[in-house]
Amino acid sequence: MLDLKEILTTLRNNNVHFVLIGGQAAVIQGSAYLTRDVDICYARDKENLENIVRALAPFHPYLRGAPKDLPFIFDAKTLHLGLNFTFSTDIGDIDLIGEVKGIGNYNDVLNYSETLEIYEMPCDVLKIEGLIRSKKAVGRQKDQIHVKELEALREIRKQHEEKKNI
Amino acid sequence: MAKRKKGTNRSRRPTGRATFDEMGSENINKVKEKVSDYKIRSPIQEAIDFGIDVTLLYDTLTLTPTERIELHQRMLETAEELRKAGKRKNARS
Repeated sequence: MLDLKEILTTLRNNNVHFVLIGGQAAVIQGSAYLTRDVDICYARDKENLENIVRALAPFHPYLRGAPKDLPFIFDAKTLHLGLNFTFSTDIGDIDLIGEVKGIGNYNDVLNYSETLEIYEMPCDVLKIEGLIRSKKAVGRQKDQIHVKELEALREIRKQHEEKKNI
Repeated sequence: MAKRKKGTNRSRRPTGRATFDEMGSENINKVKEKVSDYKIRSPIQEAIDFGIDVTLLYDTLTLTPTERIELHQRMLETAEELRKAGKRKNARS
């Protein structure tokens, strides 16, 4: 079962540079979307890759959907050789995304994010604008409803802000 | 400049914009069209038309980010329980 608190805690405690994106970011921004995995966009420098390995290794990450006998070593070298990974871990499914479609790498994603207090920890979360941008870029049929929801959310929040300023 | 007499010209707007009385029915209809256009284009209306329950969005926006995650977590657990119950029922039948 997904344990977002544990995931954020281990990433934070190991000084991983990441932005929470995807469904969980949408939930934090106010979406009623239900999602079972955690998507994070991560910085790809050597130090960060080592920090990710230190943070997640205790939770036995394994390539989601891969045969159990497939040899897999979760280390910085493996992360360096790939870009986007989908992992199953003891604390839930975690997707590590090196590059977000429609936005770019970690630094680009950071420009579309905001720092929010989650479980009393500062956490960079993709803003609604970024979520819409990435969902539109992916262009999947199933994302259409999420784009509509996010656009409505953006409008509701805008109206809230305008009311506050009156 | 002549001083305006107090109490005159009250109905006139300082911006020079026409009041509804002065607009005429044709212009009023144009305004109505614009308003209904906006309603169609409004993202909230579009979401409703798409089948999204926007009242849920108003509700979640009253919560803090952590509370939103906790609510989501509870919903996920409920969904998981329902899934397991369905699986058990199917296994029995």
